[in-house]
Amino acid sequence: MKGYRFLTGAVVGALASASLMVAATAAEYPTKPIELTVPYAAGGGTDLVARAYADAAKKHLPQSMGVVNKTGGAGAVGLTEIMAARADGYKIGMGTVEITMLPHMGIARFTADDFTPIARLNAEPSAITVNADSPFKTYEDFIANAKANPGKVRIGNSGTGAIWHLAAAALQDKTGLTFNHIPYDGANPAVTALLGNHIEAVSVSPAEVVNHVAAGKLRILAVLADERSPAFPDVPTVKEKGVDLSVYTWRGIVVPKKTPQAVVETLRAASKATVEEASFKETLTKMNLTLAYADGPEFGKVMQKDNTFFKDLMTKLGMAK
Amino acid sequence: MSHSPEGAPGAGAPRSADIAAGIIVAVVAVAAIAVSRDFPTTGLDSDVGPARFPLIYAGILIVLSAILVIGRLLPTRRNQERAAEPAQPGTGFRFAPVAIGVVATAVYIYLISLIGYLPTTVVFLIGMMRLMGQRSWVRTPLLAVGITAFLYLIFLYGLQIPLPVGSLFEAAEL
Amino acid sequence: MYEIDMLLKGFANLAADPVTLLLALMGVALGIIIGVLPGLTATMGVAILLPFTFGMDPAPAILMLSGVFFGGIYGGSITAILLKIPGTPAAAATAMDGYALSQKGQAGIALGTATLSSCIGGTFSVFMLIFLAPLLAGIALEFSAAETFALAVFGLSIITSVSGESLVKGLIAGFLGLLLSTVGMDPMGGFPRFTGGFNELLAVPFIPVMIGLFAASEAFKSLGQPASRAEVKVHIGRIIPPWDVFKGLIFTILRSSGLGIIVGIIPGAGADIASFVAYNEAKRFSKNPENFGKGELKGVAAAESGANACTGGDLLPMMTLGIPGDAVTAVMLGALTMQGLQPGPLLFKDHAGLVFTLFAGMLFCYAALLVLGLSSLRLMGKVLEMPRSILTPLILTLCVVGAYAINNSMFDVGIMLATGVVGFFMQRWDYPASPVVLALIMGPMAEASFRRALSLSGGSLDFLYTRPITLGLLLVAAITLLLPLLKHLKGDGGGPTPDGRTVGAGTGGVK
Repeated sequence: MKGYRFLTGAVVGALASASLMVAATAAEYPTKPIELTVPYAAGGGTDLVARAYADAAKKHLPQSMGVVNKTGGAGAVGLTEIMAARADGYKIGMGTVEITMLPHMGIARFTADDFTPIARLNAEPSAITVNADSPFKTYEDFIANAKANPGKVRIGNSGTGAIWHLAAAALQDKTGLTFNHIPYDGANPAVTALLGNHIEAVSVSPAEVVNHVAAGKLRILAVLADERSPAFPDVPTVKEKGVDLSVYTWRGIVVPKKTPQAVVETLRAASKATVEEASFKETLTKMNLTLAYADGPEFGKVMQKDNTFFKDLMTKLGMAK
Repeated sequence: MSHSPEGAPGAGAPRSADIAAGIIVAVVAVAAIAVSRDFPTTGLDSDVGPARFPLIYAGILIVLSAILVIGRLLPTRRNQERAAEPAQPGTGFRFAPVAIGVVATAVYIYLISLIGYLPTTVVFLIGMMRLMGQRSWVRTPLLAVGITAFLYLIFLYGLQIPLPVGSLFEAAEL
Repeated sequence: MYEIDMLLKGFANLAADPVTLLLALMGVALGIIIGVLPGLTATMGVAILLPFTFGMDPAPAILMLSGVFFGGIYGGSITAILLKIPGTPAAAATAMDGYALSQKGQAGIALGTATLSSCIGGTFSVFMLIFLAPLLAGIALEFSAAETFALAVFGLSIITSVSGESLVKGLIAGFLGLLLSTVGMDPMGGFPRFTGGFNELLAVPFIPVMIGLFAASEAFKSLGQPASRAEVKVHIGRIIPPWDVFKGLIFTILRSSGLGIIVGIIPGAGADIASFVAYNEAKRFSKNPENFGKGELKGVAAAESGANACTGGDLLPMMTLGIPGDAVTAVMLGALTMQGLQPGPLLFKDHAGLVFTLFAGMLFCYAALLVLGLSSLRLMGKVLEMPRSILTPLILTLCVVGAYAINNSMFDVGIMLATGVVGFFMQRWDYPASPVVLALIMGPMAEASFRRALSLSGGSLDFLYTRPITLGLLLVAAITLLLPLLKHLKGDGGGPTPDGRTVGAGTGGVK
């Protein structure tokens, strides 16, 4: 036990010292526990990832990290609170793709530029999934049918303006098809409706249907990703099918924009080490999530790209305010 | 609104109260209709739009409040009986402490966000207990401190919910 | 029989593992406490405890969470009966008759009946889960938006049977609740309605409203009552109902348990709906429906057995199909996943031993609930002996921290206070609070599923009469809605009192 602690201590030191030397002024940070704000309810996916991160981060920061859930407004309440927090690094946040979506809907006081990205933790693509009894065996079947019956193919999503609705809408936009988008109160009810054959397809992530796929109840036709999913190597991407589109939901650590550079560096170094922790990786695997670590600047690029993408898409859909 | 000739709650509302309530409900409903009219349509044939349900509910509320008010204005046997029947001799329900309690709670809530849960709750509990007749200067503060601490610890350790420390103290920690 | 064999093995596994039993017991106790505190729901209890179970083995982890779930649903009834403060939404139905019984000096019997009914309903539902799961699971998939809409309409029709003295006032309360339920994000278009720009209002703050309407309003009322009257000691009295009384409840409990299980299986419908549906049906089948709301033991038995029977029903599609019907089971699904178990048909195949250990443990949880419940009732009853001058400030403080705890939000506390004041006047002027709660539960469900069904059918209203379950539920709703109206018309044509003539004495001035 002692040796183990020493080892992790050494790792922290090695990883953190570089950044700490750059930022001598912040050598003190953190001197008290850090609060990680999660904009979604306890027990949910984002919450569980945040807790696993906070737990694993203990080994890489001299202070502990506590998770606080600030729910409401599809994430807008919590994200606003993160944005408005004192920029001293003691209140950091679990950012989600909604950072780049909510501002365009006119229900958020923040924009994507109000946050400094620390590290992206995981990312899940959208996937087109049908019932196992469905006549559509391949993505081509599905698209051919949608072409023949415009507006008749019902795609369930996790709520209007939510990520999976936008994914299906983006597919519609790129392929020139018309779907009938059916919003549900979250991904689970949409999947339930698909299991009951009340709709033709869902656009939620593979992680949210993997159980049913394994049980032979559902079939994934394609993923809206840049490359095939390691969990489903046989499922093609829409890119392979000639549609240049990928839509991901992601989660990552963010801080308010004005946070001192030194604090940001410390958190980035700690996050880089944290995602390598076995416990963190194991949690993601159990939840069928895909580790997609990206360091601050790279993560920032993703945020900027998504921000532009969703802004354009929502303007086209008439949802932007 | 602050005046009620009737006895304890539940003994039946006075006629003036029913009429006032009917009017308030109707006003709320009309306001809801006014706001709903500005809701955008979703532009789909297969959707009724965000305004439809509030409009239906508000419409029914106006009808219901009309029934209530007209029912109390008509010269029915019930209304006459009620009018003839003098207000029940005061059962001693007093509005002043209720009003004080509501205002005290409002101030308490405001102060929690400012200076935090711990000091405000102790003061609030002592004040309310005294308002309700606990005059002891030993028992009351002891109880107040005990309850405050007990709830704080339960929420912090049992439920992992830190109760607010107040925005002033958050600033002071810097 | 395979199931009985496996269940016995499950019990054997548990007996060999006292730590698991202890954790399950702790779960139930914690659940009861969480249920008692206003604002803290079973969902929240399970979610809060979830991270603590990560380090445990699957059986103790899941059983501890199940214990919190079961105990949380039951715990809400205790304060509902003693103080008319439902700790959870499901207990709002219990409060109607439970509190009336308390005022008659029969708090003990009411609490005892609630405990027995909860335990019987819950145990019954776990047995259904064990023996009939594959058969019943299909119901969950039959329910599409059209069926859910019909269920919500049925739920709303119950407003007429919980309206109390005046039907018009009950309906006004109900429709105000419905109007309130449209606050927030529009379910189809994502348009924010009546939010005034507050992100906190993008979803209806249901729990703060409930705390305000029931608990805070009751505390405010208590402030105005003179001290002299308060010191009349109320005693808890006998706890276990005499056999003669209990005999009359058995049929009600069984019917309510059946209803609770079905409601539980239906996706999107949970214990709150189950308790109101069970209450409504108990009243419908009763020979003396006019007694309901005035201290009818059957009302308490129905609401509690319905609510707890819902737990097994909720777990059924989650475990067999991997589809969580509501928020609690969604968290439980997460818990199973984090244990490396994937719920669904494969769970029963690959982990049969564990599954039946869990079933045995759930039965143990309900036995524990009975023992813990009954033995703590006398202690809980002490609340009645507490001077009001201490109890009322304590309740107000609990309202504040309870409302804060849901979202860690002071905004919600403000909502709680506002609805507390409204609730005070509603109570004074005879507007019942239960219709508001029903409307807040059913309203969003009714609107979202109606519009979803319309969207699914491409804009045609055919779904209202072409689907057998939908049609059946809508007919039941029509009957529930029209019966009191018919009675009302047949009775006195004048004032808005549906049952004025039949009761006469005891209702004081209402005729």
